[in-house]
Amino acid sequence: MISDVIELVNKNLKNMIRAKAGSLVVILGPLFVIFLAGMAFDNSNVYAVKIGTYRPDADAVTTSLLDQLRDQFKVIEYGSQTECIDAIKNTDINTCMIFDANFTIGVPAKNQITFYVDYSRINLVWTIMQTMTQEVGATTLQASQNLTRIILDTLDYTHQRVADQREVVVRLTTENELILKNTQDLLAELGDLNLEFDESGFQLNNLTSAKTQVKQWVDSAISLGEKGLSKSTSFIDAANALVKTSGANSQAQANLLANFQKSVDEIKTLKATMAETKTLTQESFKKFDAQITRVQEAISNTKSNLQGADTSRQLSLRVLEAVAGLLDKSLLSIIEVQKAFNDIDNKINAIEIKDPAGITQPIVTTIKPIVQEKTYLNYLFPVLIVLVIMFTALLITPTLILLDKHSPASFRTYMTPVKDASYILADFITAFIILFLQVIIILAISSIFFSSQVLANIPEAILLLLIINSLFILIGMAIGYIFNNEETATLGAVTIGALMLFISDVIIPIESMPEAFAYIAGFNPYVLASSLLRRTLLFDQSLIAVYGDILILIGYIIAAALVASGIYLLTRRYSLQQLIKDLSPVLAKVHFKKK
Amino acid sequence: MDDALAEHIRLTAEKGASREEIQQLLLQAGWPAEQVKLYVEKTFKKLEQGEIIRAHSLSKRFGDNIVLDNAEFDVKRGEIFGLIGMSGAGKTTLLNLIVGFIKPDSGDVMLALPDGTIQSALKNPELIKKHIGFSTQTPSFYNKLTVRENLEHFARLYHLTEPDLTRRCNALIDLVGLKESRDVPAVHLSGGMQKRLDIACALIQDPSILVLDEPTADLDPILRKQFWDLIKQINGKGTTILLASHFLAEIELLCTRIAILQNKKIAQLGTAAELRNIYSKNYEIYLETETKDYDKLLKDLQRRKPYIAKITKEAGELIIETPQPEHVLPAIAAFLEHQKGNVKSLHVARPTLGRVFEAVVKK
Repeated sequence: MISDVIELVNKNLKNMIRAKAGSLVVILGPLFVIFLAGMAFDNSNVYAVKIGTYRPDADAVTTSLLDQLRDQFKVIEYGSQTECIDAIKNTDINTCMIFDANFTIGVPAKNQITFYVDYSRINLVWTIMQTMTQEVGATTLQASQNLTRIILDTLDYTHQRVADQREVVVRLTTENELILKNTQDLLAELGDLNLEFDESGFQLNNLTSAKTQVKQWVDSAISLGEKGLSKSTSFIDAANALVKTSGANSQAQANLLANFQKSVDEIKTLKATMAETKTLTQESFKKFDAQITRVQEAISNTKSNLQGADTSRQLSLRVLEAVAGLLDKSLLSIIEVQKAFNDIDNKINAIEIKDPAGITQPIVTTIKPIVQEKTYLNYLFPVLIVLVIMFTALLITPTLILLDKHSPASFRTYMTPVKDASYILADFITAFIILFLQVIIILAISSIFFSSQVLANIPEAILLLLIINSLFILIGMAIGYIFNNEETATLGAVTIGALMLFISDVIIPIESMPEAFAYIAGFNPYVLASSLLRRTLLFDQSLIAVYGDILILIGYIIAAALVASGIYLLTRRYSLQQLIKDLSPVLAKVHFKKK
Repeated sequence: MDDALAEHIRLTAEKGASREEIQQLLLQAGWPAEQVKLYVEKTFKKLEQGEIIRAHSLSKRFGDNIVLDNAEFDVKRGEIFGLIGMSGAGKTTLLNLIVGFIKPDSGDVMLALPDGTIQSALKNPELIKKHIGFSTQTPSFYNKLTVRENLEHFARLYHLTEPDLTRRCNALIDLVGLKESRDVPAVHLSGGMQKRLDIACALIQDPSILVLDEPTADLDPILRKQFWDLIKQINGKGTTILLASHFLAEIELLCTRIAILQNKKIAQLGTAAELRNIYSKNYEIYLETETKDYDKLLKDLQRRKPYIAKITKEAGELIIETPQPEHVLPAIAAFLEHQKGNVKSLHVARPTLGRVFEAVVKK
């Protein structure tokens, strides 16, 4: 059995090796792909990342940061943020680094660096984010350490000052305890002090003198009254005499004498009243004097009480003087503590960065897309569509060509007076129609997901897709003309597709490849095509803005057309002979036998 | 001198020169004017009426393998020319050289065109496309297209105008008997119908020569007969047929002339009768009995030795070659009478093409 297996394996290998083109592609294709991929990927550097920057204020901090970046990358400064972002769209740079106005490390709202990136090159975005995080992160870490050191120094100083003030505080506590004790003593002393007295006992002298004066006024008034009444009586007596001596009629005399009599009566009443009043007044004054005597006694008692209080006051004064002394000392201690607090406060105030965010992240980096936020699908759309077109064109076109090559009818077509150019053109147009329909279908489906994006640039998108289609169709045609069976053609197409894919920015950014490789990769049709579509669809750039790349693609198309035509002309006869072999089994058998 | 002049005229004509140009050249070379005119006319008339294809010293090798070595032959206008040879003798290569699929390492193929000129097919490949139709063992058309669509497609590639195209397609559909199937996709046709469609496609540009390479290899005897009838019909309309086949009996019946390709050259060329005569002028008497015991007869035939050329026994059959069968047949009759109904077969014939072919190959 083993010998059978060996024989069969031997036969299989011979068959494969003797199918020259097939074995070449099978063996060399993957080798070539791995060789190139190895050359491209065998590094971990970011060789060709170009950083654009705009800083409103060029200062030492930003200059230092940029100088640090210049060691590894090419840094280009722009005059405005817009210029910088446009440069990404034009693929002049890979990221744009915008500093805050008055950029200051650790100060929120002034410590931000915004990186604008092209999210449609997602792997480059991650690479840039990683690299920039490393580069800026080192500076950020240094700044963070410096700021933390200041805080720690301040804390250390505060700790020292607080330790120094601990004795003062102990002293202050002792003094305060003493003040408390003295005050309690004073309170006890003052608590024993009886300050109660009869208020009615006040102003006795005034009352006595006032009584004497009133008595004099009363006596004087009574005396004056009695004199007045005596004079009134005398006046009435005189008036009586006058009336009686007057010649006035008796009636009038009688009336006057009656009135005089009436007044004499009233005066007599008044005299009696006054006498009574005098008596009553004498009694009241006696009572008043007795009362005054009692008041004087009360006052004497109060005076005695107040003398006791005075003694207590004297004692309290001495206590309070001691308390005042203690308070003076406490005040000094307090001033000393206050001074320490002021020093600590000044020290803390001297810390510029107090925001925790500013300390932990002195430089804030933000990544922003250069176009309006879209989903990853939106960003990847140009790359995906070119990928689909590339592989479809590379696989469908050779299949179409080989289908016809192997069709018995193709030799009959060859017999007709149709020019070679017509065959080539027909192959191109056939594949073009199929792929054009595919493009339309893709765009139609795509418009469901990204209607605004696709529809906004539909004429440009279609034109570019047709150009891209043409190029890949022509490459596919060249493959179809070179190979004579579908398997090798498919392998060849996959190899070429894989090469274009590997040497592009789909797997790793071109900028991560060695410089020479990156330069060559920049001319990779797949890279050019996806870049063109990205710039048009995502960045809304006009065809005029991307005409350089379009011209390169057109150049490729012309070159690919010439190559495909050349291969067609060179291989046509051989292909025909192969077909004849297929059509004439007898001939084929003989030829194979003899070979 | 006259033969040399005639050959010179022929060779110059085959290089594509017109009769006026040849006359001018010969006059300039000092040939007498009357002689020039006579010989030019004669040679051109012969070329026009005679050869339609002339293969000159065709040689071809694939790597170290020489397939053809100075093969020379001519095909006459209106004939059915058969090419036979062993497998691998180079028949298909020769046909492919004639239709221009393969370029010879040396030699040329001259075509006599309807306009009277003789042109090199190698130098003017477009002439081949116009004047030669080709059909291989495998039918060559688009399976997904219908009979009519196939014919129309190839007609358009030959730049036929629309009225001519319609007329030609209809005529061919009628000729090959596919009227009922004109709108049927080719893939759904039977093997015989596909072969007929292939012939129709080969004739779409109305070529003067139809080249057929093993056209009946895949067909059963009935379909083969139908196919050969069609070929005869096409030939009857004036189309010269050049065909290669390994069905020698059919070739013998169908072909005007036959070329035997052997050792990379045309070993023999002629009509079937001529080939037979080259091989042998004898008749062959084939006898087979149930017992397959011919001893008594062989003894009797010894007595008639002057009339016996050769006696062989192949697979129980006795083959007696004789220039005068009438002197041998009485002995056979007497033998058969003695055998009493034991005879299986008895017939007298000229040697078959197969036997001629075998003889040539054995040489």
